[in-house]
Amino acid sequence: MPLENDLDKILIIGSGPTLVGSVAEMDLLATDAINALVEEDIHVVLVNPNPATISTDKRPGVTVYLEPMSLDFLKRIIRMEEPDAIMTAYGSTTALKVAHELSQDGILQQMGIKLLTLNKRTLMMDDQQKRAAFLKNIGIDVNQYWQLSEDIDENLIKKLKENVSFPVLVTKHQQYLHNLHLNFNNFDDLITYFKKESQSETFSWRHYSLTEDLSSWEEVIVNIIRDSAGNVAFVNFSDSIEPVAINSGDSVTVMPSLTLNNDQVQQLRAIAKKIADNLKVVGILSIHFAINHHGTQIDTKVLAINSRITRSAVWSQRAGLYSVGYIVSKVAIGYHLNEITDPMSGLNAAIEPVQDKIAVKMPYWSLSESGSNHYSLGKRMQASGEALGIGQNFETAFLKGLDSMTNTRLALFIFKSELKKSKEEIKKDLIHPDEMHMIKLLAAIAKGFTFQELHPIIYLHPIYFQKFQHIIKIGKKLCTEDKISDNLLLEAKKRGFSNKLISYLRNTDISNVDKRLNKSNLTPSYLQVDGSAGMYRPKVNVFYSAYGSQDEFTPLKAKKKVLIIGMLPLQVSVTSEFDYMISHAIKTLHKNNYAIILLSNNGESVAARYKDVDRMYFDPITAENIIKIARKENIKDVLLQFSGKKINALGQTLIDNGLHILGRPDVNPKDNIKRLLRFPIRGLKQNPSLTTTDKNMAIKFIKAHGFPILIGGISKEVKQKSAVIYDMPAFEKYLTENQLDKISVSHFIEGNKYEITAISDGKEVTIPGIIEHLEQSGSHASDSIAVFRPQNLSKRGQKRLTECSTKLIKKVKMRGIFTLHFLSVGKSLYLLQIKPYAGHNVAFLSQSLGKDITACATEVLIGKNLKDLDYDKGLWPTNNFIHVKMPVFSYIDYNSGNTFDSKMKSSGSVMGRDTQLAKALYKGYEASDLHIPSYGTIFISVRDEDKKRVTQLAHRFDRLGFKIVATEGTANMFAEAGITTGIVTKVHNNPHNLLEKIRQHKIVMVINVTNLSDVASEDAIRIRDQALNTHIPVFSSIETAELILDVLESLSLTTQPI
Amino acid sequence: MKRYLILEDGSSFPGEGIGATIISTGELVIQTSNFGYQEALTDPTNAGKILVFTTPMIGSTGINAIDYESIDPTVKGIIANDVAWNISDSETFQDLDSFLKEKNIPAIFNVDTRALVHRLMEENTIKASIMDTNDEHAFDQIKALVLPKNKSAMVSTKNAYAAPNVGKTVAVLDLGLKHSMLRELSLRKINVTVLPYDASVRDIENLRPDGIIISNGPGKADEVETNLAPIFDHFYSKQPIWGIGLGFLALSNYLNFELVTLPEEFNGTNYPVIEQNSNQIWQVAMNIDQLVLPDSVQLQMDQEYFDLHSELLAGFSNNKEKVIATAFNAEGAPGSLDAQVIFDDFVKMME
Repeated sequence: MPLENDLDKILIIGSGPTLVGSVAEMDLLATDAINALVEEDIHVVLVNPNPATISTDKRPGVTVYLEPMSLDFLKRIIRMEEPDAIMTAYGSTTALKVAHELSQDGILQQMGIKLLTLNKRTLMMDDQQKRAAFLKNIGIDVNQYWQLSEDIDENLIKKLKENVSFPVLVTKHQQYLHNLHLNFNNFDDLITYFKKESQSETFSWRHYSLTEDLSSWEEVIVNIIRDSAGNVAFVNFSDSIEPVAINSGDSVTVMPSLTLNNDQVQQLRAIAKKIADNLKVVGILSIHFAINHHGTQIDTKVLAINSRITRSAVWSQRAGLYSVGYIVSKVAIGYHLNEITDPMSGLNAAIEPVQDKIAVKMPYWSLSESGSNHYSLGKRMQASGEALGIGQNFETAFLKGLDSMTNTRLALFIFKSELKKSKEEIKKDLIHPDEMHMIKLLAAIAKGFTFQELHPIIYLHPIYFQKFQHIIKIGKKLCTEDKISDNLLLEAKKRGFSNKLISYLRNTDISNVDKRLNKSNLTPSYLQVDGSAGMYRPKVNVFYSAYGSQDEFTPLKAKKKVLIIGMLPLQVSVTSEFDYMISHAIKTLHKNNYAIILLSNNGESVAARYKDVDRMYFDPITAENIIKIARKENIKDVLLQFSGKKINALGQTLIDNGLHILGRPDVNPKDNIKRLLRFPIRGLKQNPSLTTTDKNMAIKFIKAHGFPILIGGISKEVKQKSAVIYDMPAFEKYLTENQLDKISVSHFIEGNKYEITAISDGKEVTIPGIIEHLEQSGSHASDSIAVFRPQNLSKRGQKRLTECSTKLIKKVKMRGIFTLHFLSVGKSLYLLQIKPYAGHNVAFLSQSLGKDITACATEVLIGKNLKDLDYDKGLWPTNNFIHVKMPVFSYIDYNSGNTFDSKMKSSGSVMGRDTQLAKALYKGYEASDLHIPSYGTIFISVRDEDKKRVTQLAHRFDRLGFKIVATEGTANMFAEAGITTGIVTKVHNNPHNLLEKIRQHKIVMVINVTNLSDVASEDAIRIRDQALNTHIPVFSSIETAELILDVLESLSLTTQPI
Repeated sequence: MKRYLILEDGSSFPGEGIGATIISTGELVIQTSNFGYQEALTDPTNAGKILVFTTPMIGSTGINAIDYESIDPTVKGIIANDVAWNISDSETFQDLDSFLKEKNIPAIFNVDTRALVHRLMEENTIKASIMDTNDEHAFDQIKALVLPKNKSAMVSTKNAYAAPNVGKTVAVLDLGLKHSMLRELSLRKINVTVLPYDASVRDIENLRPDGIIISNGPGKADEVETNLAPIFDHFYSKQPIWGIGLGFLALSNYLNFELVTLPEEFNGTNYPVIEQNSNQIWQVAMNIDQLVLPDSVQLQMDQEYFDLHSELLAGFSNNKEKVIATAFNAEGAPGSLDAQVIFDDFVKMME
């Protein structure tokens, strides 16, 4: 049947910012969906406040709202745009949540708006009880579930004994906190637990639910697309190496599934189809199964049903070359599967992909590379990103995945130290898996653990045990054999051992491995990624490396070719901003007749959209792969500038191997920059700093300059997280916790921080914009709020910054894009940083200006001059709007040795846009899911200097009807000014008091501006973390609080007795 | 042990041998399904062939008691990219290696199967051998070999046998049938008698069947034509007839439908077909090298199943003429169970 013809305008709810654990980057698939709709002449309205997205780029047929995805804002947009339908599959859980609110609100019925890819039934699937009832109703097994309630009396013990089968999982539901999960293996333990729990004051049976414990079962993910005729296509069967106990987002998953036979796959298919049919889905379902093998049979239980595009759908798009994003939206508007041609494969969409390769998804945990931050893996997903390793065999896919995720040296270090432990100790480590558990598992196998020993601890499928054994066997041979034979070398390369790994195992330099490979004439073959096992040639050119296979490579024919290095796995500080820039650079290079070759294996990356590049290599981003591809393609030019700091650091190695980095002369710009920072140009002040290995020197420095001090340094070649310290005990503490080999100290100055984005052709400099940072509570630039245009900067100040930046950049003598950080204190201006690559805020700045900054920078990088491109010297003109970029925080639950380390990390960003700063800021908070309340209790803690200003602030809140609590000193101060204030004890005196109040939403906003001492800074971090984690806004500067007050006051009518 | 797959043009593909250590020759054929290697390698339709699995690994789920499509596999050899060894200590599984040894089937893994796929895309039939050396002598042996004709005779049962049940009686002509097909009939209480491929009209008539199934099997339609023509002449439009796979080809041939040779042989499980009237799509398993040109069909069909790869006709049914023909295996095995309703359709036709 052709498409439903009553759809002229469709609103797509985007996914918003990246959040660790709940939202994957859906930009790639949303972009495909937009294409699928626009080519049908359907007008698309997209709502997504995340500025670093390609789907939000301006284009004909698409109206973009960079507005919060909250009910209020969406209703306004819906009334303005009057769409015929709303599509939710591309917005992750955020879209489902707001769609739920919209359908309850009644606006959809009132305006006759359809929901696409979602219906009333699928909306219920997030509710465990409703899902269980639905599944039971259609005769599908679910895990047993018991919700306890108040009316359970003495009979409880009897009831539990009769009904509950062990092992059982007890979930304690905690309001505003993540649920607590506990396993019980027998009845007595369970009763003992409840007896103990019931002693608590707040105890209520309603807080507990019991589920059949499936922790040791295998997890299998199935993706199914269903059209309006009821036809389905299964696009993915993947299994997790780890059991259900570890969230599939934190698990290593394998596609296609290696643990299921045909009967079992058909069994799952039948269940999935039954679910899809009964839900009447027109769109996509991702179903998670728990599976228990016994003999040739399997027991299955449905763990989750998601009616949206998920990570696993992205894998089929990447490795199976099945255009999930495109096809789901075609199906949603009424096409049948057989009427759709997949633009990537050229095949009918009803044809399910088949694989002749293995794809392994490896999770990435932010900041784990330092080796000192540890995650404890469990029910809740903590990985921030992922990479896909694609290989002809499992070993290769697995090692490629690992190569993309961990630093080989660190992994080997962990492996060796684990191997030294006793079997008992290793067992203990395996029982408590952390981010290195795969490495520890390999060590256990190397230690000689048998399958029978391992299985009861980690529930590993025998096939994976066997495969890991094989990896260890090859590794041992590489370690022990005197001379490395051709056969062994081929075997190692064929099974995915990187040159780096081989060099470490052979204890030799990597260049020797390279030479050895050349001697044996061993070069990789490149095989094309397809979804038909080599039967049909796809329409896109994507390759992965393999050894000992027939090469399918022919060099890309083009006059000008450039190799672009894609984005690393999404992580704290490497967010989609880089992806956004790479994507724009690709567009610009295409316009300039360059053929683009991209190296990336980040499945989520939108820049790595297969259709947008001329050729892609789906392999780990390592120097080895870059050099091999460049040699094979005969490419000299490599673009790094938009790929972030870590990738820019590869520059020198690439130059040493004969490659040319676009924009960069072959001398290292670092030296010029170092000199500029040490001896700034006239008119700039230098912030005293010191890097030393001698603690006494650091102390001397501190004595000379006084607190506060910004401290950081390097431990085992890894940069440690820096912190601001205010007294000597804090200094000592920082040193003990970080074990620094090199200490860096600088005087911490407070002032207005400005970030300048500049582009230079080596002679002239043009400056797209100056961004002002608000709310900088520490040292981390991406944690602060960025404002464009600057609000505290005079015309003269702008001129001064522009001139200084221009002068400085001219001295670096390099083409391309730069990021400079300045600090303005009174009349003094300090230079903090010069980065010869693009920073985090280019996407935000581009969206604010409505101009493509990346395009300009790219043109310059390939040799054009600013003058010829019509870019003037100096600052770009701005429009009337004020734009605010809000960091969006995720709770990163790792164990760090560093008490100065906040667990709330910005994992993404959203923007607020309005004609007034206050309004833009308000929108920013709303978009970042920090709802600004209009009533409630505010906690205020300030330093003495700000007394007066804060008292005024408190007055204003008071007038709006807010209640105020503060610590004793501040409370007294307010009381004197006649404001009724409650007193709370300081966190370090009684941690439960204040934090508990925040946790329970008894406090709705926090204003915390303190002069930090050792204890106070710890307190401040804990308060901030708790508040952000419970979605309560925190202000660490009075200015922001005042701005928000402006909005609140304009929103409310003052209520005051006369 | 290092072993070689040698193609008739002399090119050789090295790999590691497992299973039987014999030398073996056959026609190369690809199986693209990611699941169901046990079913595929015991499927008599693959008789006499060297089966190349494109799935990245086989053996990871062992060999179990219920997934045999024939007890003694008739494939000449197995080629795979990767193989799993002792997958479990469970007694319910046999591991692939020992199974192959027991059934005297040689196999090579660590072979560049993708390169073989590319070769088969270029040439339609390739003879190949599994050998211990890759010298001239080996090469001569392949050249000397003539691929067997009439493979149905090879794999068909020699004697008729009964699979009694209490429902309708069906005569199954065994051109190389699969156990799963019999199992589906048994689930529907069909009283089955399996007859050899060369059974006569009389043999069938003696059973007084309510319906006749011409099974799938190896070989070509013209090889079974002589045997089947009198049976069709006698029973067509009188008794329900269902032709499967080779049976589909034979029946189409008999009805003068034009058979089109596919650019590449279908041997896998991701072949969707669409039923024109209902718009229902089934994901089906096919093991066939020809389908029917739709324009050549003069008969008005009740149901027509079109293959979505080639847009050719892969199945049809006509209630008046009491005939069903499917190029695909309605029982899956390996493959989805979508098309199982055909069994019900056939039962209905007999009522």
